[in-house]
Amino acid sequence: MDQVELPKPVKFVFNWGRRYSLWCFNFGLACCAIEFIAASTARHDFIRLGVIPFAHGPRQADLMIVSGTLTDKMAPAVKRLYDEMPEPKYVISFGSCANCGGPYWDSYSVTKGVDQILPIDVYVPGCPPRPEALLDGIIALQDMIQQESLPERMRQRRPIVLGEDGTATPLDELPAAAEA
Amino acid sequence: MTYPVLSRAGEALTPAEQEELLRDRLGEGVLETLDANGTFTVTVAPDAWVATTRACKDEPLLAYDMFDCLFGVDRSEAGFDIVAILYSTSRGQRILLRVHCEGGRDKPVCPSLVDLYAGANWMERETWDMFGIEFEGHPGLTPRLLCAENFEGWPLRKDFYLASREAKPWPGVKEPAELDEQGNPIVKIPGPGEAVGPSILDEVMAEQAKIANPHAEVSGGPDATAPPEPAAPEPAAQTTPGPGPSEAADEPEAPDETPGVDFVTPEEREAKDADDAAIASARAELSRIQQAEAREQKAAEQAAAGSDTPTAGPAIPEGQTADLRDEGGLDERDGGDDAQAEAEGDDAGHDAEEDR
Amino acid sequence: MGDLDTREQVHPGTAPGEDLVLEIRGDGDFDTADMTLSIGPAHPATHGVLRVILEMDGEKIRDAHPVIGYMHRGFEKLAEARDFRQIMALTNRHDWLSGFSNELGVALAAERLMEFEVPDRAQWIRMLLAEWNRVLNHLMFVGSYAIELGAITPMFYAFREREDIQFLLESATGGRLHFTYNQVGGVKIDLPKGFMKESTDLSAMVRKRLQDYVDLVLGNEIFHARTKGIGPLPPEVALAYGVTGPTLQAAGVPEDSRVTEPYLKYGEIDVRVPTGTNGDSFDRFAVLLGRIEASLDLIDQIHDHMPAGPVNSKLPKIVKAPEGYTYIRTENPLGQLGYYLESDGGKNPWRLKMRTPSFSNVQVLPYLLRGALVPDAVAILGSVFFVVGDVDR
Repeated sequence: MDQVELPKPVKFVFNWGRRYSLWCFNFGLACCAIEFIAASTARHDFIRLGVIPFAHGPRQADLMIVSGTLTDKMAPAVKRLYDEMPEPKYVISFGSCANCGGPYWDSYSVTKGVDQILPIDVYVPGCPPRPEALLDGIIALQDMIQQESLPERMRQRRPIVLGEDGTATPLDELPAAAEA
Repeated sequence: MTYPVLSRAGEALTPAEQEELLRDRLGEGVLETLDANGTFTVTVAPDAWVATTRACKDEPLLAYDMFDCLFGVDRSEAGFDIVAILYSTSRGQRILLRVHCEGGRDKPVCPSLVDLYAGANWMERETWDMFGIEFEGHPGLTPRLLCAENFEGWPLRKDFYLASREAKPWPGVKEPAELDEQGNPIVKIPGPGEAVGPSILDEVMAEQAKIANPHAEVSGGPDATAPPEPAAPEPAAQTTPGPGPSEAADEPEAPDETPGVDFVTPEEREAKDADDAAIASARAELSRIQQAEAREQKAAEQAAAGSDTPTAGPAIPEGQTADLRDEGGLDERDGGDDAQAEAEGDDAGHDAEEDR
Repeated sequence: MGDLDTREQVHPGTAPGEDLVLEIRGDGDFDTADMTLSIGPAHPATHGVLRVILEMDGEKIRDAHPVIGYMHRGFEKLAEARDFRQIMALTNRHDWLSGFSNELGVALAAERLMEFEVPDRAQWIRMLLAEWNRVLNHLMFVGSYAIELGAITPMFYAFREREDIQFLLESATGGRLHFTYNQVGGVKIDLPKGFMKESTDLSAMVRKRLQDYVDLVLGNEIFHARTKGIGPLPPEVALAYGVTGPTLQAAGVPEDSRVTEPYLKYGEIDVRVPTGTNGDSFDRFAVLLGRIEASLDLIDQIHDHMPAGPVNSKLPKIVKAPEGYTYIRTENPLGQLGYYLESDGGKNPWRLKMRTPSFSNVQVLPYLLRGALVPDAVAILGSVFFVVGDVDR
């Protein structure tokens, strides 16, 4: 399914199933985690959108919501957890610290934005964003999932090999480039 | 079992008495004392550091049993100071003990208080992490407590500069209250390549768009060279910038040039909005007048007909919309009349837009 | 395994991803190995990014090393680069569950240095919002402690109350979590019309619903079994480590800044400080619930005392603190928060040290965890109330 482009009706159903059954890895770092929890409890409740926050770990999750400040000390752990998630995986960057460093833009120990180490699908700005903003971000992500084609996504995320002369070749095109 | 908190508050020694007691016990170790700003500080010599703390803890008249914190202070050329704060639960008073570290700025050292108070352990580790002050007798200062393991440098020293601030100073407008000699507010004009402050962003974007796209087709709206009007009420301190922003044309905002896409510069949009708002508010006013007249007419007819049925709803006086704000809900604040009028103006503008 | 007969010391700073190190003990013919387990930094049972390395003999914990710093954002350095208004926006992000109380401490320290007179109404408003913040904070811990022990429902109950209180505070300050409502000299803006009535109604409602937690959690026999006698903390040890707040009060020490060193107008009203007897996890939780009720009592008293008047003083154009230093300690929901503010006469502080309650509370964790079983480790970790942002600043 990640190599063959599905016919449209099947793809519609397939993406519809994927977008409404996101298991979310509860990755709260800082204050935004409190708003994340508030978004999961009774009043705002993102479970009705299909996002279930009870994944037991990254290996059983397909959505990671990074909420809070990412410090340089924590960055390797976050990267490792992201790598442990199986494809297709999505990341929502929640809060301005995760987007760009936020109020700690000049700190010596803060990574200015999670997108320095991970590819992000949706950015939710705010400090902290309201739970309704998270709902908005999740809906945006769901629309994105509905429109996307898995082979295209896999193709964009394939490893890229940096050659000694500074060229970057995708891994699957490597033998062809070597012959050329 | 209740612990005796404030049990001896009446017998608490005054700062002068405490100083006398400490000098009596330690002699030359006590260098000076200071009682100001609600804190009583005793500055001691480095070799009397542990002895002083022990005296504070063990002396029955002092009885400082709670270890509050310990941290360092950078004294620029003079070196570093260590401050320890102790608190007495039975007497309800606090003492700050201060010592100047030996070794200057290169190798500051200080004896450790871990044997006296267990809480000094992490406090000293943190001070070492932030300042590089070695604590003699500490079981293990490494690894770094707060910073990452491979972090280099002592962050809280004054010669450790924040890299982000060095690379790019804060681009916002300086203190809006800062005035220069003539009494004019100081506004920071961004140079080429620097980000602009939020208040002049619209003008700058418009300039850049014009530079990037001088022959852009603009749909409708007034003359493209209309001067930009500030949409939101700006603080009085903002003066319009000089020719600075037009130089910041390194990365112009390239608008979408595909045919069929209307490109309206922000200034035109603002002018259009202002016009629309004026038209809409006039329209809303007219409709209100008409509705009021219709209601009066209907009331007159019903009164003439002599029926007892009440008129449709209370007559809404002119110039007011009946919404929650008038009921004194949670949104009202003191002196909110102007805000209310402004809000209604906005509302009228929005409604008219939706109708269109 | 029998080849290794040298002891290997586990390095407490083992970075995530490094191999586990086994410590071999030879006991005659029976070789056992102690296991080193690293809990965290991303773990559902720790409140945020705290890492605890446990050295275990089977299920029994022989030693524990908390590793902190995963949320170290360098607040003290950033405070030296910001003026007093900008610091307010940063302080409330440290103990993110009690943002108002954090700002309050900085405002009080700056005001003391500048010898600023704060109007009465501002002081009472500050007290009111600080007590509501305390209720917010404690409700969160009530919910999260229960969910760590496996009871999921109290979390939703706690958030039901929290949403209502957050709505109330949002109507006054504009923020749900980070209020930025204090400023040097008072509060930013007056309370909205209708706030006092809403506050009165809400305090009555929260008080009524408090009974739910007592029924659901405090009286629950499973809860008793999991928390009674777990992690007892003697008062001398607590004071030596500098533990404060509900953790200290559960140990039997009624040390509360609002009573022992009254700030604002706490000296004019009755502050009740519930204390425990054993200092175990059950007492800490019970003290938490007691503090919620005590705060509601305080809120009702503040309603009666609230005067009219201005809420802030006119600040000079550039807010500068005169040379000197001061230390001020307030009762944060989690403990006593101290600010040491040293100024060199400029508009940025020369040194702003934040003595956070969670730092000391986490420092006492090894003492509590030694000798406990692994399931009790979770109960202890949740009962020693801390917020990781507060630990690391």
